[in-house]
Amino acid sequence: MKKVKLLGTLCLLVAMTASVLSGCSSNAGQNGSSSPGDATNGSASDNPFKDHMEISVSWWGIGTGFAQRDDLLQKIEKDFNVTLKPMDIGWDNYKEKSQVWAAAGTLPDIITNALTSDQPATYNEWVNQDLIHALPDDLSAYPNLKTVMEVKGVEGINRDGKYYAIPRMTFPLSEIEAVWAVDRAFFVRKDWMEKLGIEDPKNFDEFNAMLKAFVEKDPDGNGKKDTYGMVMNTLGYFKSAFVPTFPEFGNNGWLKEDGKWIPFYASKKMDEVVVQARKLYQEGGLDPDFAVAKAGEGNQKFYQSKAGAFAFKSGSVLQSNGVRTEWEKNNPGLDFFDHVKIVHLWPDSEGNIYRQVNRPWWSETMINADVDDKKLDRILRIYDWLLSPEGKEVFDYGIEGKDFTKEGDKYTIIREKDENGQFIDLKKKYPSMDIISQMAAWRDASGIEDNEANRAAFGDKPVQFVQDEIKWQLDNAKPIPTEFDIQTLSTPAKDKLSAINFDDDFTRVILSKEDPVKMWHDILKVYDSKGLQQAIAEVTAEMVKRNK
Amino acid sequence: MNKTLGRSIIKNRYVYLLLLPTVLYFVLFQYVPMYGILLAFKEYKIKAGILGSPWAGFDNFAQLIAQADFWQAFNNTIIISLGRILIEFPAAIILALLINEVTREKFKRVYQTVYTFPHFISWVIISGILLNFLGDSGVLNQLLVAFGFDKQAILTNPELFRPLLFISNMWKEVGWSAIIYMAAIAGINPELYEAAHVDGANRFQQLMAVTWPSIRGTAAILLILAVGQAMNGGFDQVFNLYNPGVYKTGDIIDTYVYRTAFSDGASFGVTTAIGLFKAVLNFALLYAANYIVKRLGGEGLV
Repeated sequence: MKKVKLLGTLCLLVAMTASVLSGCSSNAGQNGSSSPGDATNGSASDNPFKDHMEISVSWWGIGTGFAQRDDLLQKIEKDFNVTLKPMDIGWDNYKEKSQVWAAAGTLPDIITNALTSDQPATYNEWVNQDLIHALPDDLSAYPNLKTVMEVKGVEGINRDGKYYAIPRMTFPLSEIEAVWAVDRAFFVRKDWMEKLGIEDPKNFDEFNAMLKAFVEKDPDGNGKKDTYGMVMNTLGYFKSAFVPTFPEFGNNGWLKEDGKWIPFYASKKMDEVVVQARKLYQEGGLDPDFAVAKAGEGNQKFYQSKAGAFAFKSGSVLQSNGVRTEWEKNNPGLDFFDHVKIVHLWPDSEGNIYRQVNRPWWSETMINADVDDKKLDRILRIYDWLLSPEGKEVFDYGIEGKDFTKEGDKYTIIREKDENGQFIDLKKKYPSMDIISQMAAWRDASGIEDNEANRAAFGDKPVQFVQDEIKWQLDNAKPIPTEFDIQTLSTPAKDKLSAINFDDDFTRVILSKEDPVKMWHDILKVYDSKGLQQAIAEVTAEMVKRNK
Repeated sequence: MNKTLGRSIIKNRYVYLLLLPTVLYFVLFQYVPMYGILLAFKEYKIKAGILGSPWAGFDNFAQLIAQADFWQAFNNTIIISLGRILIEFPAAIILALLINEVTREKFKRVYQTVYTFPHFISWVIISGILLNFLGDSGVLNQLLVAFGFDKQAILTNPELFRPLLFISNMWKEVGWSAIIYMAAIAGINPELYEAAHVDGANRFQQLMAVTWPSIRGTAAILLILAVGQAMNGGFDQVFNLYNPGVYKTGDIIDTYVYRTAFSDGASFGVTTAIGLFKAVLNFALLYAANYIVKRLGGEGLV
């Protein structure tokens, strides 16, 4: 009897202890490099893809994108003899997740993050703490990758003579200006403007008056005061409205004022910007819910014909869930291009019109410091292919023989069509396309190119619309004066400025009832306590060294 | 003493053996991770780990105290927590007493279910509901306009944010918090009521002389626990409801830490310092409340 009791107790004990400890099990070993079955050691190989490898990759939403293991993913894995192991990050938590992985020692082999562009301080720290792998000095085996690393501005992320990241270029350099030019736009209801007799605004007051008229003069003619002026996708798009007042405000740049290099928010011109922004809000032209709405919620008001103006990007007319598709979905039977147009920014006090321009890359690929030389070579080979013309062909047209055929330079698209007779979106056919095609470089430019692939996918009108907009911007507007060097410059106090959240403070000033200028100056005092003046001194000293 | 304890352990060895996993759980998951507190006094290096990172003395705390926004968040946390204790805490007691006075068992259940249900809705969803209800194109503003009043920007008005917190949290949690009091009330010996009835007490007098004294102890303990949470202030709720317009009155320590923690890679030390700072204050408050309750003749926790 006693033995039974003891045995029973022990069994229970084991079960309980096991359940307690099961929480402790770690996923150690999941970064193991090569799968043993395929590895054939020793044989000197001229085939660099001989050994099979497992490579872990992090990317936004890669879990769902890779879940189907579609043909495109399988092609890449077969071509490079690898298994890609997805490690998911989300848009709203990728910074935190990388930090946690770094602290826990479970960073993937291929790390996706935005340190070089957004958090140079963390980039320095990761380099100093040996978390990330230096790229080989000689990149001649990877010619396409080499070109990227030689782009002007990239030298800013060089640390002690070595590169630790592959910047994710936003687009081919030849098209840099074109793509940024259509990265910001105010879509405005053309029919409402005509009905209310409003011309394109020629200064801020006319712009404000137009938005006010959308609110007050019942542009949809339903007898109710239920329309809005300006709605936005996110605050960043709306900020263009102040570019004529203060150009550098438009891309959060640094500028030289009174002999010192200062971040845009330290400029004297901010006073006028906060006054104008407050005016837009107070007089009703700006959506009163702009600060409470989550990203993308404002769009709905425009799509549902409740708002007259919408701050977003011109390229959105080409997206499958972009402004044109959504607007037409909500307004059945109406043609987007008959009812909506882009209202351009007005000239500044000196008669110049400015257009958006920004650094050539956003975010980057880093490679785990624990990756061995063989795996590093394999990863760089994959990246070289992703950046090559052969890679671009796959991303533009799909898999040869399945999605297109080619004779010389002539492409024939043979992939399936949807019920409307349009070719189905490659991104829908291959869920991994969105990820694989953008791993090495954003493909923002490919969408706005005037080519067969795009005309087939989007139709002629939207492609022409974007081409016209690019032409207008390049002909009429100048790029915002921008000192790209400073963006990757890292000094102790400048790195600490990342603690400043300008957008939050700007929003606060817009919403408040206090005097905007006084409030703004109080905020600047808080910025000073975070080391703003020190950062200005350090950056100015550094720029003097560079003769700027 | 020691001998008897040892003997009692041997005698009840199986029971102690069964206790072991729970003790192990607390040691492993509650006490061992506490060494992370060291980070508050260190300059964290990822590769070096927590123990290997160099000491930084009180630098992290000094950095913290120098930030103007931190003190705003600190004040807000105290004010909001105090408001919760003054407004939300008694509400649950009152609700429990009121539901108890409902004589029809069926209605009692209905009320209890209706009040408890919102507890299971997450703050993410409630924030969406509130935006639809109180936003510029929301129901409330449409009503205001229909009756000829001006629209009100309720969600971005710093003066209305704290009342909004209290009211919405009460709507969500009051029924749930009342359960524990109702359980205490259910345990009251009915003979006490009968005796009071015989003595001629009316229902209000019964409530004051029988029901309230019976749940006072429970209320005291819950009050001590609530005070011990004072430095928290309800992250989930505030984070989902606030916006830059109401930082002035609504930004609490936890939301402030959340916003600043990951913007600067080197700040693990500072955020741990904030956590430690909060924990120490919470601990002190808990003890103070406990002491006061005991002095007033109640039963404390420790």
